[in-house]
Amino acid sequence: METVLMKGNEALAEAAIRAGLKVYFGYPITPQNEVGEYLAKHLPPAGGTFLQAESEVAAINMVYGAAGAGVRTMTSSSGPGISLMQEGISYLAAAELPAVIVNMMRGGPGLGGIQPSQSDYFQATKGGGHGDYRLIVLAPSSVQELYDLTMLAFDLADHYRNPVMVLGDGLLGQMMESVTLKPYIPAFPLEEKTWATRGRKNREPNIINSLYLDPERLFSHNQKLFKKYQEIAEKEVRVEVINEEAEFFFVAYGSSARISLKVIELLKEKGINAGLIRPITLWPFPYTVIAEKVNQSKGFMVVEMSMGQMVEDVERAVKGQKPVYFYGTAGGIVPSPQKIFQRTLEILEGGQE
Amino acid sequence: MAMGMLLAHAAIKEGFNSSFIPSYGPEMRGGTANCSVVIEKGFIASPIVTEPDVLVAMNSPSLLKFKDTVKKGGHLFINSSLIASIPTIKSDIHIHKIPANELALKIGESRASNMVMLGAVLAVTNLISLETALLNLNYIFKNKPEVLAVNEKALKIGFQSLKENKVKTAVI
Amino acid sequence: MAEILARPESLTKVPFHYCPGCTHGIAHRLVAEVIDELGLAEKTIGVASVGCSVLAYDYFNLDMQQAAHGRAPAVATGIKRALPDRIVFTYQGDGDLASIGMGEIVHAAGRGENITVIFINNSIYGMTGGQMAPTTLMGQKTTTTPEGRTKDNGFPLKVSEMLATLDGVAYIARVALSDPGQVIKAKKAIKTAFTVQEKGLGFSMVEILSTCPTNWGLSPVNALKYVKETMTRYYPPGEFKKPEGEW
Repeated sequence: METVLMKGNEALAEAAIRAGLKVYFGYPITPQNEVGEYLAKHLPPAGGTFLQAESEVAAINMVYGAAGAGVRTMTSSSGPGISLMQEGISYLAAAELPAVIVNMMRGGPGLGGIQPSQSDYFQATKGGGHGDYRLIVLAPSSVQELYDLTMLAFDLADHYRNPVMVLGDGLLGQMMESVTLKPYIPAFPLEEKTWATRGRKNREPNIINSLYLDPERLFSHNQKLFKKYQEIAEKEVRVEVINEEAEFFFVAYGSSARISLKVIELLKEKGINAGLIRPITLWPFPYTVIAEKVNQSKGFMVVEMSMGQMVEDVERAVKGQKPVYFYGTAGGIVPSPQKIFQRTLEILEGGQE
Repeated sequence: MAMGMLLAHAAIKEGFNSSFIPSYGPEMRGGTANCSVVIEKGFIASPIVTEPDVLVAMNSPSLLKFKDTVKKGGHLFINSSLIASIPTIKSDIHIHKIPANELALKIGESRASNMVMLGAVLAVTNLISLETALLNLNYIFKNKPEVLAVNEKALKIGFQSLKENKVKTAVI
Repeated sequence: MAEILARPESLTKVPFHYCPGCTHGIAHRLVAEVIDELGLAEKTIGVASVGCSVLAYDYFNLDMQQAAHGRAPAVATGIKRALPDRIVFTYQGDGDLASIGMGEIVHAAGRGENITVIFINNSIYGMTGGQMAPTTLMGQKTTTTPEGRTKDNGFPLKVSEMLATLDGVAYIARVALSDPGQVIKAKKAIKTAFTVQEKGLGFSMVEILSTCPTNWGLSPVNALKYVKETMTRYYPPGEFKKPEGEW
């Protein structure tokens, strides 16, 4: 296996090709343009199709069509574009279509900026589009994980017939890091998509649809979806805990988790035994893993590049039993390990308020 | 940028983990375009560099912006061709002045000043060997084989400028 | 006894929900007949849109996808790019295609996307109860132009003429379901459109002038007369673009 220096956006595109991406649709937006550019160059020789759509609205609906046709398909964008895609994402979830959607988050709201951010957490994990639905949300924190989780995203999408979002940020997308180009090994056995619309040869027609005018039928469709979501919540929580025996835990995902690791190193020099709980799936969220640390931890410090979004889920897990602190930056400012370190020291040495 | 990318790439070839973060967006179009490189034996905790061990400043705006971030005992490399008046710099770091553009001109390619600087960095820090850097130059210039030779020369002349001519190095 | 008039294979046995005098049923049937005659049923995927024909997936005995409002050409693009050897068509009304979905239809046509679009123009929003459409004629009364459409509401869009200017377009025709002769012409145009796609020549569209007796406030017979005498004056039937030479 080759280990190379690769840009995050390109590593994820390479992983998608190796996982069998057949058609990609996207619209340019910083900071994820390298995804489309890489695929425009490398997907056709691999037997796939790259198409630059006229808008994010069109791109996500092209994904809907291709997913319904039973092939592996993907789009990528950043905040403003992902907002435009919400309608299509809701339809994908409703019609139970497998697709991978990448969001390399940038600062918002509105046009915001182009520097890294984590302020689309709510949008990704709590809905975003209309109606009751869930996306599986994967949060890589290194270029290697962008590669690995993109492959996993296709498998989860197919296995559960559900859209999966890879939630990265401008920093992960733009940075280069060593990445081992592992061969693709499916996480689940690949099943034939007998439900796909590929022409009704030797069978009854298949229909891809999200319209249920009869309230009873819509209700039972909702129940069916939520039974699936429950299964996903039971089976697919992924989390990394660093330093299981710690007396104080950071909770952070993506780039913020990397920064938190640095803070933990600095605290260790001061004799403070801190650990990290890093959700890899943001939905389903690792509530139980956090709850299990409530007794041993003096408190939890949530670090995000936002004004405080995931912190609400950490509070839900901790249920008021221990203090939950928050350190956030926004607008594209990456938090400084030294500042978080100082704040944590103040908290730990000044007693718990 | 090319300097950082080469360093990060070559470090992997020597068995390290490395990361490279470029500035992107408007900064790319002038001003203080910069990049951060981390080289580690193990897993890289944070790829964000707030206190560098080594800082290379190619022009005055960059020097002014980052000069105070260098870690105590760290190294600051200044391109003295483009930075005429050097501001006050904290006294607990090593300062190296390299007339990178002049040296690059000597070998006939002023644009190779970045590789001259990298050569100088390698001479002082041994982050990676000069040989590895030379062997991996084609990673940066894969589409321009015609400039490979001159950049090889640039790396070497930069390396020698500090290895053989300590006069220009002011260690405070 | 020989069956003179049978239901096309490509239609299901589900009765249409359309209002009396509405020509959606005829249009559905023509599309189904053409697909049968060209032997395409097993390799065709249809895309239903939002509007009165939202339930088209119940009526066509074909693999079908239901698309978000206006996005049928994008969905069809996705299907066609995934399965280039299949036949893909959209069935869209004028609100869906010419208002909310104008971006998607123009770009699908511009790309020369090798799909067929069946565009039902009845100059009004039927499903939502008779509001102004981008195709509503000047002076025409709707629930949102109670005094008739004026220039304050803008002018009706001639989609076929607009799209015919694009290089990616292979075939565009406008037909009117106003009498049996015109229905036969309509079927011919639909057949040409699907054949163009089968031959991989590019984007094809048939605009079908249709009735909406309920929202026009006309009897079925007078609605047909309205198509023939009023609509075709602003929207002249004809072929606006077709492949040149032998094909």
